[in-house]
Amino acid sequence: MSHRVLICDDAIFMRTMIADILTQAGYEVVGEAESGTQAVARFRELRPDLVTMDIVMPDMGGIDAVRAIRAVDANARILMCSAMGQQALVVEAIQAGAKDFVVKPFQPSRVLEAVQRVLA
Amino acid sequence: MDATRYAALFLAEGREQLAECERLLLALEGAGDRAEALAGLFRAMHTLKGMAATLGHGVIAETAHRTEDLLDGLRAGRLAWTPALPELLLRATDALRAGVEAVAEGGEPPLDEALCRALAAVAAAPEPTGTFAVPVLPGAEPVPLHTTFELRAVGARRVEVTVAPEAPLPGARAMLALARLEALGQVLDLAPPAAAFPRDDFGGTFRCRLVSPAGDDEVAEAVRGVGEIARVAVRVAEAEPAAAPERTARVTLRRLDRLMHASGELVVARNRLLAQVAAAPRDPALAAAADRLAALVGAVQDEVLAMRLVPVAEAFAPFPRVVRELGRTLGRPVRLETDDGGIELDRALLDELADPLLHLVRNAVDHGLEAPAERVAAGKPATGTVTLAARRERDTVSLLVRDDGRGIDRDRVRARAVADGLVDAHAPLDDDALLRVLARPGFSTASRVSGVSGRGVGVDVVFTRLRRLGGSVAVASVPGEGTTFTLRVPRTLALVRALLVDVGAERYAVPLAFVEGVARLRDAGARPVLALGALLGTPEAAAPSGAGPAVLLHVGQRRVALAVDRLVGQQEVMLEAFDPPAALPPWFGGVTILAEGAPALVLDAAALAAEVPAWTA
Repeated sequence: MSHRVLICDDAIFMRTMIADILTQAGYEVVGEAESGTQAVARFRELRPDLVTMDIVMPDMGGIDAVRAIRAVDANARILMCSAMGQQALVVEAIQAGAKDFVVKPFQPSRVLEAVQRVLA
Repeated sequence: MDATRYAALFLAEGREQLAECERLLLALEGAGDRAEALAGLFRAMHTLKGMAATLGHGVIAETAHRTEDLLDGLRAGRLAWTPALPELLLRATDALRAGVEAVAEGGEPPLDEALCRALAAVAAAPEPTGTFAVPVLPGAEPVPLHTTFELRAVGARRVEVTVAPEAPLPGARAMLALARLEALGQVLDLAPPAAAFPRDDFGGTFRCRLVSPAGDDEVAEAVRGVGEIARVAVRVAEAEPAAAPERTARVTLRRLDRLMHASGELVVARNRLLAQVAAAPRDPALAAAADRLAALVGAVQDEVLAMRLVPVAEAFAPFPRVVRELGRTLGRPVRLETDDGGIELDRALLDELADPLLHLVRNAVDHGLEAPAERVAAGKPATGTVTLAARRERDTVSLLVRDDGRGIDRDRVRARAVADGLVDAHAPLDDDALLRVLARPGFSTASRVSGVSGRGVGVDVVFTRLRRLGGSVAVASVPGEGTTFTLRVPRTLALVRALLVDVGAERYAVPLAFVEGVARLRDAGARPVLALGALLGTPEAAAPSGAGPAVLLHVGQRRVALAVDRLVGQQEVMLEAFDPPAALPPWFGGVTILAEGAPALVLDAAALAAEVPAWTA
């Protein structure tokens, strides 16, 4: 059974791109969210195996969403999607419980490696 | 097993854990992150209990257990937080420290049953039964009972991790590796500290000790599992040298104060004796005995002062949290850099400096730093930097609070100050003048109300406190580059080295902390000249002449030549606080009894700088 993924990013472009990379590799994208609040709600509802999380999103940011999701499920596997220069934020996300991160612009191979590490 | 070795480890780690508890409790009373502090306290109590139980220190284990129960309830949200809790938890920490210190002396105090009952009452746990059983822990905790302690005793591993050079965000990658290590056991002696990881200049390599039941290969495998790791080295740490346990005695601070005072008087008496012996050199044996006595008094003095010295790092310790919380509250990313320079300072002084430092750091984050967007627009990194540093100069220690913000807006400060009649509209507002304006009590209140985008808030408080300590404040502010406040204090309280000068028939003491040197007045360079006699209105004082002596003072950025009638020499003087008569100028900091038995007023050079208008010329 393929792993079920929830994609959280406020940009449709990024969501589509991540979805394409993951779908082509055989993962099942079960949902998308465009804000932190939505991400938490969809996580509760879908209980995915993996969440990809943008850091900067309207309404509730990615780091707070990581905290909220980990409060729902301490074993949640969350992969941060960051831009260059966001090192401090990524470190904070890791302290909040994110399992790994990838840096935009995405290289499909790096994204898949990170996904495999998080799901390992 | 080597019992002595375990005991030494217990003491060292027990003290460490209790110091951490205290730090966290103080953070709890402040604006700290409560959940994080509670989790830290819980871990510390847990470790302490495990160690104490292993070594059979039942009272400590029981007390730690009760405290841990309470903390667990708070941490898990079963118990509600109340403002009275820090007090109770501090009491528990004190009791535990007393227990640990008693173990250091080979005993153990009786169980503080009142404390245990109070803890149990809050935790709603059953009354203590009086016997200690190793408890079953509620909830899973990453550090299994005793493990830390035992493995540390048999030697932990040293781990060195290097992130692949091409990896993006190497600090974040390193953080992932660190998280893996923390999942395996206890990480100690992390270098660089975790605060360095988020920085852009993080090099990608970190080292630590790891206490974990996992095998070497397992550790290396776990780290490699985070990906983009160039190198992992895991080796057994060399056993720590079995340091002979340093025996300690508990002495109240009050006793220490009295001892310091007495030893200060002793120094003054020694100086008086030496002066007498030098004045009448008749008896070589007496002179030799006096010399010997003088050396011994000096040694006593050094020891007493050393006892009171604590690392400045202790005063800096709460600030990473303070700054982090402030940054979070204000919604601006801030980084704190500290550089304590390994400097030590009298504990009493350091305690007094805690509030001024807090004031200045708050001001730096709140008013000094710009909003991230404004910083980026000005070509600066979005994250502001606040620096806390300590420096030693002559007999003084300077504590610096620096921000890389917008700098103080002099035009606005000047407008306010001119409106309040504090400065002349055309006078240049240099750093010293700026400080004098900011330090006016009325000014700070007014500036806060009117929202002047500079400082002002609390600077008067800082200024007053420093003057009371015989220190000084300086400010340096560059538009667009930031502001530095420098708090300068004598290294030790009470006993100061001073230059004695005569004006008319009176003798005065000038603390050497502010003295750059002495010279003939005509050789004093471009400094403004102040005649002490004229300032004091001493009729018989000599008129300053080029050939007359001058004391070269240096306060803040201001240098001045203080003309006096005669230079007498240096002496250590015991500074006594006094109620100054109303007629006395406000720039005397105290009074002292000189070696020859006569009293002398001690000049407060910093106050002189603040009060005497001639200095602004």
